Amino acid sequence: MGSGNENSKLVVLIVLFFAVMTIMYVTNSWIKRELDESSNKSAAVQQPLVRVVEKEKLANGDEPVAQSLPASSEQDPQTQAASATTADHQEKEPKKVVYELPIHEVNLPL
Amino acid sequence: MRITNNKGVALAITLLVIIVLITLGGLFVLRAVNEKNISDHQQMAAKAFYIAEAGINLGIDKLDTLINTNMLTTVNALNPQVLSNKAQTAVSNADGITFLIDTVKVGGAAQLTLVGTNAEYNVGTTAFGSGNYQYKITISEKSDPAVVPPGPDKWKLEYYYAISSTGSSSSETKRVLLTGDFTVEVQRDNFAKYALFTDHHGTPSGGTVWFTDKTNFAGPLHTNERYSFAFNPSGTFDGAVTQQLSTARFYNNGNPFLTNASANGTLDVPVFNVSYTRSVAEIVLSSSVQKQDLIDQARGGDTTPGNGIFVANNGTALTGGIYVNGNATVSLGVDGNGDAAYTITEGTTTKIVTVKRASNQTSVETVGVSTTTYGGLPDGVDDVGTIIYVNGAVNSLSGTVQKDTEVTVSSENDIIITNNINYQEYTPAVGTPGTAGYVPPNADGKTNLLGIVAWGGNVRVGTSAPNNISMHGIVMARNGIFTVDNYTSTTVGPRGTATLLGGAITQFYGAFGLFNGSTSTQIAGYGRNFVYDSRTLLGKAPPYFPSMRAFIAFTNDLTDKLIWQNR
Repeated sequence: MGSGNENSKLVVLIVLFFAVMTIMYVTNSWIKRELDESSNKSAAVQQPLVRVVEKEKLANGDEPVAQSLPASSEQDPQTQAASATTADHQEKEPKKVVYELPIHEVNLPL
Repeated sequence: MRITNNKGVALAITLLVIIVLITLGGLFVLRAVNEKNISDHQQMAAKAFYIAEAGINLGIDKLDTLINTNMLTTVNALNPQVLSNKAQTAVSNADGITFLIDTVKVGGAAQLTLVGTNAEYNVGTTAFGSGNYQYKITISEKSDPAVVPPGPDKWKLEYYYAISSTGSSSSETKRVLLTGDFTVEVQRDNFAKYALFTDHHGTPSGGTVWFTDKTNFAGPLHTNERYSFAFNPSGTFDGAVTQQLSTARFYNNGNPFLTNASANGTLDVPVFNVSYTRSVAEIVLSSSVQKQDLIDQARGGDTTPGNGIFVANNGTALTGGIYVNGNATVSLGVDGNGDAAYTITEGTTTKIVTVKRASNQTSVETVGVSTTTYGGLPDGVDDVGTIIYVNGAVNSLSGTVQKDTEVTVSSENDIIITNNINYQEYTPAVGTPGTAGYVPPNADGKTNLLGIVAWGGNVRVGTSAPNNISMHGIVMARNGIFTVDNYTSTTVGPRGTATLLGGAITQFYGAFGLFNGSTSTQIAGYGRNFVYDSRTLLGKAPPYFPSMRAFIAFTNDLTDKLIWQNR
């Protein structure tokens, strides 16, 4: 059985060992987390930011709209304004109804 | 010296191991941090590049909009004479850039800026995802503006363009440059683009012809009056529908009324898959192409009097089209060699005109008499396409339009369609009209094109025509209707659906069939399935087909070439 001095040294060694192991473990965990995050970002950047379009098709009226664009950018403001049909506004106008003579014919032209 | 006391060695070794481990760990940490920095750098660079590429895509989309929307809208709204003067000035001054700046406008504001001899369009720094882009479109002249033969109302302006886009993400910046060329064509707008156009949306006597579930349309519709809707659904409309008057007519179970609405509750409900707009400006049904133009093209200087079938020639070569004086029957066909063959009968004379496009020859066989072969094709004085003009009525029209042929059959009086008229090349429809998933027929990418023009009469589907008749061609009855003979015959009963690939442009709206006013059931004649020919949106029209007074401008050859990218 060793002396009390030797026992103290052993305790210090054991504490040091666990301290180093803890530091190593924490460091390893941090590195692993950073690498995972980094690889996730790399994977994300591989996703095309825009839909690849064949520009030759533009003349046929295809819309080369970037899929990841914010909604407000997907359409030219003028186009957006134009696409809001005047019919929508017409529906909001007070409706006047003008009745015509009742139809008595059984069969009608189409 | 001999070491006898080895106490503390374990501590020293342990400390040494710890130091080694810490050093190794530190190196590992440094390496990982370095890798992460490189990864972040690559990530930002990739982002910047893709953002720059997105800028390029948006740039070419914008260029398409500048020409095919902004310029088209401006040119279409300009007084035709003013536009014509501008185009002529561009030709005489050899200056296509000024014309471009003058016509690419939104709400009267020029979209392009003159920089040196070029026109430019700039988009400043614009946020995109986690970065931003900016691009510049530079347009320069490729060649001087020119009149397209036969003129005078058609011009061609050729340009180069370059789109330079810069994408940024964090500290990374990438640049992509794209160049290409395009041709702007300016010409009169054409009625051929409508699936249905009526000046008056009713019969010549003022009667109402209703849209019902048996009337389906794909493509633009316009009337200078109002539409009439009966039952639910009262037609399906896969295209922009416009009318000049502010109110529509609704059947309302036999108590019709006019109102400013697109449906009558759940009773009369048309299905508008694009839009229905009322109170739009009148589109005048008058044309810069007149009957005499077609006659002149067909006669080709020939002045032979009396009735007959005349294929204008100078003895060795054709000089015009095909002109018939008198009533005729016309059969469009394709012979065993794949050539277009027109069998035309007038009185007791039948001629077969075979157009040998490959050898640029035309043979004219007078059946039972002789055959003569001429150089050239019966494509009018201006070589614009095959022209057949009948100075009378066409009592029978049917057949197949040869795949390389653009032809207009025109007459002074009525034209009666007696059998299917199909393009040799087209993509058939899939599904049932008016039901989900229906894909209408089309002739996209094909050459065959037919115009049927009655100047003084009607275009009629005859009683001998088959059920579910198919008609490929753009029909125009400038002063009449497009209708079905005996459409009221309940004895014959319903004849299915008449499918028209091309559209109908008429003064009045002729009836195709009858429906029961209580049940909406079709009881006689045909239902309608009118499908516009999408080729007409980019200016394609049958030879000498009547055009509008207004002009259009468009490009359909916007090509690109990626010349440099800083990846």
